[in-house]
Amino acid sequence: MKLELKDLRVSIEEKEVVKGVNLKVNQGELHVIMGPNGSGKTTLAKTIMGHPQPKVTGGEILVDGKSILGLKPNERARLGLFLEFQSPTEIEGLGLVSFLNTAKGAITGSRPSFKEFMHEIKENAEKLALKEELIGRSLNFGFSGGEKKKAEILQMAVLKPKMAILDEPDSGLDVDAVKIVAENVNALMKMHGMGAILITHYSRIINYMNPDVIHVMKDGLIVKEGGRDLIREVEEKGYNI
Amino acid sequence: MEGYGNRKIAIERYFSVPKEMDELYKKHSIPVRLPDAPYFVEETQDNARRIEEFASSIEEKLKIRFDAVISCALCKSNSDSITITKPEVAHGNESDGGGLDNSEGRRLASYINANARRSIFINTPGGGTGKLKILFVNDCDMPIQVSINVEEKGMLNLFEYYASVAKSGSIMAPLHEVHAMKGSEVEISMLHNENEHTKVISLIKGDALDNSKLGMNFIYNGATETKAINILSSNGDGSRVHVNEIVYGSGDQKFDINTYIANSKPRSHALLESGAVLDGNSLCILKGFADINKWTKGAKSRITQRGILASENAHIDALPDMKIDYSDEVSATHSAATSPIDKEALFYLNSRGIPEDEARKLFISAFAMKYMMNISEPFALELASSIVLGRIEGREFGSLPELSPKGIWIPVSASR
Repeated sequence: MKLELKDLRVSIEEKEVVKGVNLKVNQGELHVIMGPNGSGKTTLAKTIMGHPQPKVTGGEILVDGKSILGLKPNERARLGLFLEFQSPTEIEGLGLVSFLNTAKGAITGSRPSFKEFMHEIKENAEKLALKEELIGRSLNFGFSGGEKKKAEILQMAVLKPKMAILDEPDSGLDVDAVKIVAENVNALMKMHGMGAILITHYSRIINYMNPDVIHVMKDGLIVKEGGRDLIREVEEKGYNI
Repeated sequence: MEGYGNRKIAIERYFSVPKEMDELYKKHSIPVRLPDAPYFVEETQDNARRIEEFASSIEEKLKIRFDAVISCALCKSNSDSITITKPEVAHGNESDGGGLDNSEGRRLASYINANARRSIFINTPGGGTGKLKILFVNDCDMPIQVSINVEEKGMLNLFEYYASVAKSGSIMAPLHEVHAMKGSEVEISMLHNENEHTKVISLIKGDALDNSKLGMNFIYNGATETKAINILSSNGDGSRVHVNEIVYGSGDQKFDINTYIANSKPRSHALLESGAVLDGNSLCILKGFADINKWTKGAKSRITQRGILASENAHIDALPDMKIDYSDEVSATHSAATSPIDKEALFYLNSRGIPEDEARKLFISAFAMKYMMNISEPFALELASSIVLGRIEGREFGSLPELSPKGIWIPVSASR
């Protein structure tokens, strides 16, 4: 899958938050977006996934050359897009397994058998060092911040998207957990050719990954692009580059 | 069982909810019009057979066997723990509740006691264990008394399923009195799935003595109108009362649910969790009142009321309230919140490929599920959740859904 943003402009309640972003992510590529708080990164991520609140006022979002602006979030998911949420929603009463089974069925058109599905979930949970007892719980309910982040990656591993937008998957994680999350994302990219946009404030997670391009986003615009050197520059000078 | 045949079993101890006389409670109340004289069907063989066939059809569908079937035309018990008697005193309307006050609770209790044609007694002996399933079939007006007594260190898991075959306006009116004696563990789940010809009046007075546990699960789903008054007290040192109630309403259904919990002894817990999902033009009034008495050191009391409005015309009034007398180290909280379906949650589900309509149903069923997760009997939980899921799918209340042969996936509560 190739994801392309062309001069994308997005407003929330009449305020322009994304002011003409251009980005092209090919299959298997990892793009990192860094930037200060309030620069429009999360709005960009939500817009790509089709959140109803941000209003696209200009430009295009293309998947394999076709506009997806008219598609609903679930239709975008069926195309292969996945958003890892910065603050995943808790839904008490909805079992994680039941939810994932429904989601898998919605995306692939058929629900997997219980036995195989449970095996897949447990296997991935183990890779993520996610406590098995959490699998039987309600969706994200009572999970710690780190457990929620890992549960998001678990969902990604089970749903196998073609392109993932990872909105701060490292926030709230300890050093070991950051490494585990990074390794799992790497594995999915390698195994399924998944492309990814990684939004983060810190270089820590990037140290465990192999990004193709680093983008710095400020005030709704991508202001600088480069390789790993750009990360060092940000670390030294902050975002006033 | 001596003395249990007296129809006055509950009236002397039945009292009005303290707040019931308040203007606020009066304002938020659905009045119940009682018939001058109840309508009863005759206990003929034909009518009894009709109920028998109805009960069998449910049993076959659910692959269970009820321990008792209670209706006007047929009352039968297959269990030694369930005794059915006819009240000793002739029916009539002589009691107005003793004329002590004009509260709704007393008025309704008086009606039931004055007109009940059957009394049901459930007894679990000390140290004994009972798992019971009772089917109540509304075939005419059914004022009925149910007395439940779980003796010291006894255990009871009781499931009551309420259905109707009534074809014109009738009242299902069970009055329960529940005693959980010292060290006993009691779980009672009541699933109301009456049809559109039925109105429900449900009165419950229960208490838990020292170190006993009383769990009550109420699923108010059926009937055009439901009036419930539940008075549940944690009356023993270290006793636990935990009430979960969920209302699912649609169309023009109306619910007036008034639940009073009390802490009367040290280290007692009394928790009330109420939820309502309303669609169409339905209306629900949730009144929760917690009463923490004096000298209840270490007592814990909590009321949470949550509502989801699934349509613009649905309406929920949530009224949580507390009265705390002087006592040390008491924990008491109450809260209420009503909102439309959370759009961020819907987006989350949508983003995982789940279409909007299905996501909406998933969200509502999850909300309802959390109030049913304390039902420990798997069959009862599956039936309750299937009925609510059926409603969310658009099924009319009063009907019985097919149960999935694979069962349903129930999340484990994070708090367990």
